[in-house]
Amino acid sequence: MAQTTDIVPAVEVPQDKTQMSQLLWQGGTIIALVALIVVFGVLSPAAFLSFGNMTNILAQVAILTIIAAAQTVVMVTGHFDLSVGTTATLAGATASALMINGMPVSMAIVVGVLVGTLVGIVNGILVAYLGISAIVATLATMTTVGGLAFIVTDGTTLYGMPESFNWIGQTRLAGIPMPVFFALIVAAVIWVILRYTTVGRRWYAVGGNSEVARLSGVNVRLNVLLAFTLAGLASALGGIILVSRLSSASSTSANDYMMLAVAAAFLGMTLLKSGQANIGGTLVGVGIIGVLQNGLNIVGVNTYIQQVLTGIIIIAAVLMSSLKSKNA
Amino acid sequence: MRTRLTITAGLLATGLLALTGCSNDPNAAAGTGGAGDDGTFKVAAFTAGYGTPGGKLTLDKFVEEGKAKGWDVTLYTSDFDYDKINSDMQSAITQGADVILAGFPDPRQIAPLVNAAEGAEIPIFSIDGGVEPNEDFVEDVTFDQDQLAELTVGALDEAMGGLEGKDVMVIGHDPHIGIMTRSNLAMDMLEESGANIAGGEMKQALNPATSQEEALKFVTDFLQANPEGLDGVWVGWDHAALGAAQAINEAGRDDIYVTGVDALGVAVEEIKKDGPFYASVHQDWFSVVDRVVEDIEAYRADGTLPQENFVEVEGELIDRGNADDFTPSM
Repeated sequence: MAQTTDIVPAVEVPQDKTQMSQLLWQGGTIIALVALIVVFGVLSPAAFLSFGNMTNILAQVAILTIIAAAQTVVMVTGHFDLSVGTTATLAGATASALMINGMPVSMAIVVGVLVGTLVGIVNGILVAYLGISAIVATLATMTTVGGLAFIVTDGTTLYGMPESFNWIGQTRLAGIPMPVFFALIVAAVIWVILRYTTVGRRWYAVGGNSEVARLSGVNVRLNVLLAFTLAGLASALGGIILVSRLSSASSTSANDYMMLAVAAAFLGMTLLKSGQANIGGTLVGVGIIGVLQNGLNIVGVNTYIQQVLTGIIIIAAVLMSSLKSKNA
Repeated sequence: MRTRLTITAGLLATGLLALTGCSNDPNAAAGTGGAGDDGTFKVAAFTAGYGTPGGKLTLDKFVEEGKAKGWDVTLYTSDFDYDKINSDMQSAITQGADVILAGFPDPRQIAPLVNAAEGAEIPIFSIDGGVEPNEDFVEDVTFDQDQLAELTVGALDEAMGGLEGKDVMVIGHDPHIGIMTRSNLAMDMLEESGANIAGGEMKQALNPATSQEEALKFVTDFLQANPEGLDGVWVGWDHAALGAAQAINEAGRDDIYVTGVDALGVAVEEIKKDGPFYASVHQDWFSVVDRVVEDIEAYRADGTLPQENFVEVEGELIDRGNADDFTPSM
C-alpha cells in the first residue's frame, strides 16, 4: 500500500508534464499557422493582412482543400491515395472534352465526377478486395490515370468550354470566389460524414485497428472501398473546379496537388490526441501551406526556396505525426 | 566421347552462325545512308517532352510524314525522364536504327545515346536541340531565341508606350534550355531599355504543365503587395502567360500587358479580346518538321548530310493586328 502511495505522486508529475507537452504538441500546428501569419504580417503588413489578400489566400487554397479532404478520408482508414491529383486532372479533362464536343455543362460535370468516382472504386477494390498495398495500388492507378488524361487531352491544352461553366470557378459571391464556397461545402460534408455518421465512425475504427474493427462486426473491406470511392469523387470535384477556374484543361493540371494534400493531412494529424487524420486538422494544414506560399510570394522569395521550405514542412509534418503515433 | 564432342562443337558452331545471320548489324548502313539489310529505313525518334502540346504535335507530325515516306519510324517518349530516353535509344541503336531524330532534346542530358550513336555511326537529326551549334547533331533546326525575345519585348514596348522606367515581371523556367535562353535575353533587353525587373529577379515557374496556376499566383500576389508596381509581364511560354493575364483581369486592371510565346489557340483567343494578353509568337514547328524530313530523306537516298548543322528559323508575332487571320496549330 505504501508502495502504491509512493507511486501515485511519482506518476502524476509526469502525467502533468505529459498533458502539458501533449497540449503543446497538439497545438503546435495551430501555433505554426499563427506564427506564419504574424511573421508575414510584420514583414508586409499592408499587403499581407489586407482583406483582399485574405481572399486571395482562400481562393488559392480552395482546390487544395478539396483534394486534401479527399486524401483525409482515405488516411482515416489507415491508407494513402497517391492518385488524387491525377484523378482530379482526368475528371477535369474529361468534363472539358465533353463540353467542347457539345455535351451540356451539367451532364459533362456529372460524367467527370463519375470518372473520378470510378477511379476511387478501382482503388478500393485493389486495396480492400485484392489485398494490394494502398501505396502500390494507387501508385499504379496514378500512372494509369495520368496516361488516360494525356489521351483525353491528346497531350494538348483543352479550352473553349461554355461561358456558363466559368461560373463555378471564376464568379464571386459577396466578394468571395466561388471555389472557396465549394471547398467549404466539401469540407463540411466530409466533416459531418466522419463525425456524425456510422460509416465515418467505422472508418475511424478501421484506421485505428482493422482487426479489432473486423472482430467488432465492421465490414472492413466494404468500408475501405467506400472511403476510396468518396476520395475519388471529391478529387473529381476538385479537378472540375480547377478547370473552370483556369478556363482550360491540360494533361497534368492538378497532378501536383497530391503531395500538398498529403502534407496538409499529415500536418492535421498532429491536432488529434490519437494522431488520426481529421478534417479540422487538414484545414489547418492547408492554411499553413497557403499562407506560406502566399506570404513568400508577397515578400518576394524565390520559388526554388519556396519549394525547399514546402518540402521541409512535409518532413516536419511526417516526423511530428510519427512521433505522435508513438506517444499516443 | 570424341564423337559427342564433335557433335556438340558442330551444333555450337551452327548455332553461332545462325545467330550471326539473324542479328542486326548496327553498322550495316552506318554513315552511308540507305536502308538496313532488310531494305527498311529505320528511324528512331525520341522526345522527353511528349507531355507538352508542342512536343506531341511536332513529333506526331514527324512520325506521320516519315511513314508517308515509307520509313519504319518508332517514337520513344517520356515525361522529361532522360534516363528512360537514353536506355530506349541505346536499345534502338542496337536493334539497327539507321537515323535518330531528337525532338526537343536537352543536349546536356543525352550523352549516353549520343555516344552509342557515334559508336554505331548513326547520324542524329534534331528539332530544337539547343541555342548554339552542337557537333552531336548532323543537323539541328530551331527557332532564333534572340528574335523571339526581340519580338515579344518589342510588343511589350508598344503596349506599354515605351520601356523606360516601366516595371516588368519576367517569368521563366530555367530547366528548359530554350525558355531559359529567351527569358535571359528578354530580361537583358528590358534592363538595357531602362525597364525595372519587378521583384528584382526573374520569377521561376517550377513546372511548365502547371505553370498557368503558378503564374496566376505570382501576379496576384505581386499586385497585392505592389498595386502600382507592375506595367507588364513578359512570359517565356503561353501557358504561364495565360495565368498572368487571368490575374490581371481578376485584379480589374486594364493597364498591364502580357506577352507569351507559342501562339497556343487558347492564347490567341485571349489576344483577340483586346485584354491584357497583348501578343505571342508563333513557332511553325510543322515547317521545321518538313525541312528535317526532307534532309533525312536526302540522307536515306545517298548518304548526303546537311551542309549546316545548326539552322535558326524565325517566328511570327501574333498580336491584335493579325490574330483574327491566324489559325493556331496547337
